[in-house]
Amino acid sequence: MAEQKHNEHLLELACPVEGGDFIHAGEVASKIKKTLKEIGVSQEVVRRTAIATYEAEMNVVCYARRGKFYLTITPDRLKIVVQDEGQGIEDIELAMKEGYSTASPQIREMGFGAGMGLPNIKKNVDQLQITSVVGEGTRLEMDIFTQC
Amino acid sequence: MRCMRVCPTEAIRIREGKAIILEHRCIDCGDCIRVCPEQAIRSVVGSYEDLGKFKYTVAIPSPSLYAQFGMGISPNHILNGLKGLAFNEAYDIGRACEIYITVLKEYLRTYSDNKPLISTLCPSVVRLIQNIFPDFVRNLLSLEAPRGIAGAEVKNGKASKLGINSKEVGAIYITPCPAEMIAVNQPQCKSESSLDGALAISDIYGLLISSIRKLGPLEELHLSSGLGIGLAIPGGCIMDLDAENALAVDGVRNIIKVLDDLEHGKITNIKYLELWACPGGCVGGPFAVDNLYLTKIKVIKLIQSFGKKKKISDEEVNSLRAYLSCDVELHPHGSSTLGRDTVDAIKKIKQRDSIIENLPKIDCGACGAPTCKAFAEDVIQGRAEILDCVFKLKDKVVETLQDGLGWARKTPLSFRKRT
Repeated sequence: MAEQKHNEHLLELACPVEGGDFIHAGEVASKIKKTLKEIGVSQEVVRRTAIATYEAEMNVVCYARRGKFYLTITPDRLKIVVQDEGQGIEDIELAMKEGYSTASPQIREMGFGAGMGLPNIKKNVDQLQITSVVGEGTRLEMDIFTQC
Repeated sequence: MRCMRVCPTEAIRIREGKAIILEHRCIDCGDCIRVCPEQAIRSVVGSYEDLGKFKYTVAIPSPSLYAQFGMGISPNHILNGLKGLAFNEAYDIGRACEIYITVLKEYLRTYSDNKPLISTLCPSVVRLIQNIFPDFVRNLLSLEAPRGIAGAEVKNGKASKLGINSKEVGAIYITPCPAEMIAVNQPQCKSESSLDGALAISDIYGLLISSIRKLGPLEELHLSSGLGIGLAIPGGCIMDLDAENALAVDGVRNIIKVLDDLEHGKITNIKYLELWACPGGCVGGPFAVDNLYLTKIKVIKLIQSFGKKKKISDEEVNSLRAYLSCDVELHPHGSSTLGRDTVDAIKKIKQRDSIIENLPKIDCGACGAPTCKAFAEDVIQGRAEILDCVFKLKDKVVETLQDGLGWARKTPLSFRKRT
């Protein structure tokens, strides 16, 4: 019975992101946000999730070849996993520092690459785990609690 | 069908050839009114004939009315022309606009929040935010619009001065906008409206032209400056607000995109957002008559001719201060939520997504819904059945025929070969 109840809450969503696709950048964040609004999750959770997923999506577009977003909704939290194939992060601790950026001149010209992406994600989620292999890709696991 | 397809919030369904509006999704933008070839959709707030029920009527034009009739017709001509119709008085909306801009500047000076202050002049935008972007309801400007300020000025003591009952004074707003017409009867931020009725510009356009043609010597009715007339076009007044990085956006789909970006944190350092549901702003409203590009030029020329130095005094602004703030708090409408609670909503989402999987996804509209996704939602919310989709019905017919053929081929027991 407990398992059945667990499955009642479960919703899973998988969305691909194409690296370098600035036209569609942000659509996955919008899709996830729309779903959360349809579910009736609190405005605060919607706001924080919107910011975190948007930043994560922009990171894939700016720095990776491609990536995939996995959203899982359970009774007590939202879990968002982003797995990408790309250049990876050499020094994660450095990347988490506000203002540090590895953005190319082209990306900076477009107004991105301010070095606030990962710090912004950390500010808006309750749990964050980052693993990366240079030359292969990066994996972000973000948890946002939906119960107080 | 055109109304159903054009609606930016998918609020229209067609049943038995008639458009049904889903109230919880409708934002009163009037795009449906624009495209209906039969003019079957109307916002009903009163007609020219209704004016007879008042003893004393005052015409309050929207700034967009000043922009109509071409360069040769000044706001003074228009106000005199209105007086020549069945109105006792014509109010110079420029006054109310000056008051509005003055007080808005004060609000902006003291506003501090990491999200911008959002204009509430467009009632359609207010509904859009309440329905779809509830997180920004708290950023909505709580200040009465020029039309309401005008109504308050007009009615203030008028009835007692004339020795009649206040119900016999009619403040009638003349507007290009169905949403503003609805707001006259159902004000968004005030418990009581200061206006008593509204007329569409298109409804009195012809009458007004005749009246203007017949004008003799003109009374000086237009005494205000050009400050505030810019409210008729997107961004027309933004330069005068002293707000860092104010942004003007017109068109519902563009507004949704900008608010989406704002939610994602993509737009930062914007202090003021002016949002207009109609492309081109109010001069592009469904009931505006003249070409919206020509009226835009006229607005700019009017601002240049009459300047931006306000004529209204601080005393006059202060005398109306009590009326300016809103006494009703705006609340989110929660209409995005699909179910009674999280569990119910998730169940419905899964049902909807599995229905969509089996639909042709061509958005043909035969089911009376604008998209297959909207139809799937209609099914889970009980507004339609799965066989209301012509393609699912066809599949069911084929399935039934195949079953029938199977039954027809069944041999009676007595005929069957012994195995």
